[in-house]
Amino acid sequence: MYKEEFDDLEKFEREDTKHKLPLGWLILYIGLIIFGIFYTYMYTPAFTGWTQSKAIEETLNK
Amino acid sequence: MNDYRYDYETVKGFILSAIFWGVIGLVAGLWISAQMWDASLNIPPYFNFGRLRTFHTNVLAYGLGIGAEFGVFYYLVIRLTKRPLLFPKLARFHLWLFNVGIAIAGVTLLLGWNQSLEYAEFEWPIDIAIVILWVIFAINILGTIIKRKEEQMYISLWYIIATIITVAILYIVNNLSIPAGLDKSYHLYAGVNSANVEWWYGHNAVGFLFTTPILAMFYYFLPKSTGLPIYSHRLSIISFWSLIFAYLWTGAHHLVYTPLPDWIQTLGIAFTLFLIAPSWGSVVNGYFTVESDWSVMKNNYLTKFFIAGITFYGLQTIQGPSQGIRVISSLIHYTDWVPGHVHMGTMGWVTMTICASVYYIIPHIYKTEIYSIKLANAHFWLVLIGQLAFSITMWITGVQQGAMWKMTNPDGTLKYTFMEGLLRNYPYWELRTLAGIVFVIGMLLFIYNVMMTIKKGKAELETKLQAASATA
Repeated sequence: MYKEEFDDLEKFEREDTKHKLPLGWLILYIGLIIFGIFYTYMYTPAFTGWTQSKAIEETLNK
Repeated sequence: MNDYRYDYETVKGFILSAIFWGVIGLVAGLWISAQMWDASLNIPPYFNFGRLRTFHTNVLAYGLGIGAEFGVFYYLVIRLTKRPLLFPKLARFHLWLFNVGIAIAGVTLLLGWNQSLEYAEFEWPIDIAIVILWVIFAINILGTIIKRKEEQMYISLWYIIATIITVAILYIVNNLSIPAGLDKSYHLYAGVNSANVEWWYGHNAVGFLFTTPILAMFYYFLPKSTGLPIYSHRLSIISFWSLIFAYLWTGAHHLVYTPLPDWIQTLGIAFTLFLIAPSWGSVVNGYFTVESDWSVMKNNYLTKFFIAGITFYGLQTIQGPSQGIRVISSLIHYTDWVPGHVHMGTMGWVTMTICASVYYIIPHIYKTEIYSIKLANAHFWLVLIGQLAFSITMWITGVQQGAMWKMTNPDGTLKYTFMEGLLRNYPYWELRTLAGIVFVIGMLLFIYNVMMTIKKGKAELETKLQAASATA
């Protein structure tokens, strides 16, 4: 058993940049959400009629 | 100074147990890697590749990985909540149950008890023991957090809570089965449903045993050891919630080009690609934290581990989603690139972060300095080289396997026989074993360093006590 100093949580996070979100990262974040919606729409049979088996057929018939 | 004392005995116990299981798991890993290129190293029936491979994954994931996580969590939670553990005796019982459980579980795997579910091979009696163990852990940690004396919940606590809750749900749902004797059971789900539930579990086992707990360590020990505060609280919180939300949807990328409905596969792939963002949130946060003073890379030997670790995490989270998309999955699924990918995570990100956390904790608990920074640096470079060599050899042979399997003659027959493909793998499999040996030597240096630090700490305490009694 040891006596300890408490952790000072204020030293764990920077004050001046506490609420910052790097722009490049934010673009990536939003971009991937938009792409995810687009991708899900494009490759879901109920929305566009695309199916994996049709895609394979097309590849084999090339 | 606070008015009470922290109890670190359970923390020590878990860290030493994790090291013990780590050695056994690493030996098993080297052994199976050698079995790949020399079949005579199989010793039937208990030490065949099939049994040793599951033994290796489970002993390292659960023995080393979770063992260390238990220890580090018990250390972190009392410090972040500013109160002693709610049930210290229960934690001690947890330690004993954990070790007995891993020993029995390992033996049952070698005996051939196997549910044939990836990362969930243990048969139902072991599963029940694991659930009991996890509930004990959850009561202690969550109870301590609820009764905390520090109002603010630091980001590490969020990651710890996510780990506890998610693993409990995943483990119970995927391991529901109908027993057929002590050593045999049948999965509650059939066919595609079984596969879907299994990979929902399997992928999230990686997410909530190899990602969230390790991030909890990263977010605590990086500022603690470098003295540099985390760059952005908002970034860490947004990354946290998006990570745990998105992770749960991604399991289907393990089942691309299977009878699983197309829409589930598509949804899984979309979420998998999105997962790059929250993962890189932590990567960016780590880099920007150290950016305020890069000299810590030179002056503080632990920073290297954390920054290399988070770099590997970043690489993993690009590599994984890439492997998940249909076109790449069709080339590399079932090839050696998959273990190559997994090991970059486990040998790079997970091991480096755990080792650095242990390097921080052990001297701190024993009120001493690390035995040798030189040895720790040697450990770092050996682990780095071993891990990179492992992954790169597996990338090459994996892509080669995928390409050879896909090639057809004009009449549609396969261009290469199984044997032709197999022979091409041998040089890479041999190199992989060599890489593994380099990695293990690094890990042995780590263990030696930790043991000597403990010895040093005890000796210093002894000297202090003697001096105190002499002056009394």
